[in-house]
Amino acid sequence: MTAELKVSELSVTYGDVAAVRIDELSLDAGEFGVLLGPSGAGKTSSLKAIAGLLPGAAGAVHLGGRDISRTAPEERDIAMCFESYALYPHLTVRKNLEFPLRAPRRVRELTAQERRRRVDEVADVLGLGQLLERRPAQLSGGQRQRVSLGRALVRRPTLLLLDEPISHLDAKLRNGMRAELKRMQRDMGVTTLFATPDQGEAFALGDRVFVLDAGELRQVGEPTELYLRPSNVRVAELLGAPRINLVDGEVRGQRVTVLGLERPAEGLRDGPVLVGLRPADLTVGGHRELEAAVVAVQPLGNAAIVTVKVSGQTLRVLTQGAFDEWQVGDAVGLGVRSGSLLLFDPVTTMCVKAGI
Amino acid sequence: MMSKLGAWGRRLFLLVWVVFALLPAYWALSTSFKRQVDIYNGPKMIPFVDFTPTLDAWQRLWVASQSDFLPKLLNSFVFSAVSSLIAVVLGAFAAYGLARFEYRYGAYRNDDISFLIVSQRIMPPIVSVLALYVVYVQLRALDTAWGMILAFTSMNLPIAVYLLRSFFAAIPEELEQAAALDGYPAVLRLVRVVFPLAAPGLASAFMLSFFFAWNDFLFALMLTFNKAQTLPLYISSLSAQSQPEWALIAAVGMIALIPPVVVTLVLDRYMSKQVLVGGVR
Repeated sequence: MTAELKVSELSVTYGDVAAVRIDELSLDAGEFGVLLGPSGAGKTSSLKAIAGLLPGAAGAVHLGGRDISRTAPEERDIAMCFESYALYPHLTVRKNLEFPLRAPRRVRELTAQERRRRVDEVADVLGLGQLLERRPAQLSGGQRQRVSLGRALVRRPTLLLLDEPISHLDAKLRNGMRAELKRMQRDMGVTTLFATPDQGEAFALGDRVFVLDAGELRQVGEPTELYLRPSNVRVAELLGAPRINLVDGEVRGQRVTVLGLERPAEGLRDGPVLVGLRPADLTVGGHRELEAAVVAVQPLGNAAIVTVKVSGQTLRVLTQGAFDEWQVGDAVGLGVRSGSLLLFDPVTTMCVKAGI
Repeated sequence: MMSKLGAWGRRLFLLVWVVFALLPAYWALSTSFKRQVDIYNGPKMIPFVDFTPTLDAWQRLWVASQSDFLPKLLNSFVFSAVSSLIAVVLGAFAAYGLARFEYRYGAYRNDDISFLIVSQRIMPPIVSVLALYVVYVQLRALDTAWGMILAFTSMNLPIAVYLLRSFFAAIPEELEQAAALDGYPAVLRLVRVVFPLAAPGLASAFMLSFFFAWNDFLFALMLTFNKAQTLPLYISSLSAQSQPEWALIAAVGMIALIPPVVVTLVLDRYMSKQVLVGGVR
């Protein structure tokens, strides 16, 4: 059972403070949407408002064409994985997984045998088979996370809301869970909204990414599109790691000057401009477009983040391959890949030109 | 070496403590087997050596059980158990409300309401009991079971509310939200998730209420005179005759000890549970 989600004019207020204001957010049936935003952006509030858990929320929520704005959370057929996992500590893993199936609205649909089979099935997929008789207190963080995911999936919800479900796992587990999550979501075809502050997860999982900042949606699109054509500085900062470099530039006579580099900038008015340079679009050594000095080298294994200083500005450069050739204090050449500049209006922070 | 000394020291301390705690109970138990003459002749603790034990008091209690003793024991138990149950159930709903929702009645907020409720116990009962007597006369509640249950409940409710509020506040709200999304309406969320997690609080509130009602003397003294009399009054009546019946008093006292001990043993396993661990990170 899969359905499209349409949220409009959603707002959440705590006292007098508006935490979330979303004009429109829609997901196609079976789509995997990622709600990307820094901590405090209002991700959790948004998810809980869609689920109907916040009394201070207003707005319309349609699921599968049905208006559920006034439906109680227990009748919405929405499952959610909480960032805190929110497992029932007094129940075993099996009882936790069974809990949604024993709810009054479902208890008559399933026999005890079918219930057991569904739990075993989900436990099997998530590798929880050995843990069914344990209590949450006896589980590791990763195991608790999987139980929480299993509890959401076991009832085959119409909409699945995931609140940073894997960001607290260790790196190895996290990569595994990403792939697993994506596969399960595809298999079940459940419409999913996944909240995370991690741009890597947005790239890896999202069919579409909704960038949330200070409670408002800044931009919506496919991850690559957001990366290449961010509509404003915040979006550019949130997607791409290491973080985008922002330096001051100047537009004069249809050309932009930044760090002594000149590029054509047709159609822009003269004046100051904020220039975004992605660390991955910069190179050190080789062709010497600009003169730079190495300030710091942070090895990443197969790559390194080299921090350089150019005309008084500090830039992060993501280098590939052999990084041990750079030493702090070295004078190096800095190259800027053509077609990689992003220009922003310094006042409105909106993107005025991309890809020059 | 040090740790061995420490272990022995701990055992010694515990032994001293056990003797200290149980000596009064033993004294009462031994007294119940004494003759009047042994009771008045200084402390005699060891049967067959210090004194000659006799079943006299227990036989008299058996004879008295039908007419006097058993009805009063039953009264005490029923009043205590029923009033504690009502106090815990009503108190749980009030405490849950105070822990989860924000109330505002004029200048009164949740903390003020809590204080107002618990302040009902600040006044010594002896101050209010005379007024209560007058009210009970008007209500024809004197010497009735429901009157005593009402009195005990009203005394126990404030403590139950105050105690349970902090237990409910400690339960993460997200567990209830999870239960809501799992398909459970509000009342079932309470029954299936909140109350089990507040079990230590519910158990302690029941115990405190039970002990208060079981040990009450004042309310029973003022508000009962015959058919609703409780065990403490019966015990007291035994010393108000020509001479105090110490052996009989001790025997009744030993029996009066049993229900609170049983309640404690039954509820203790709920109280020591670390129920909240592992639910949320």
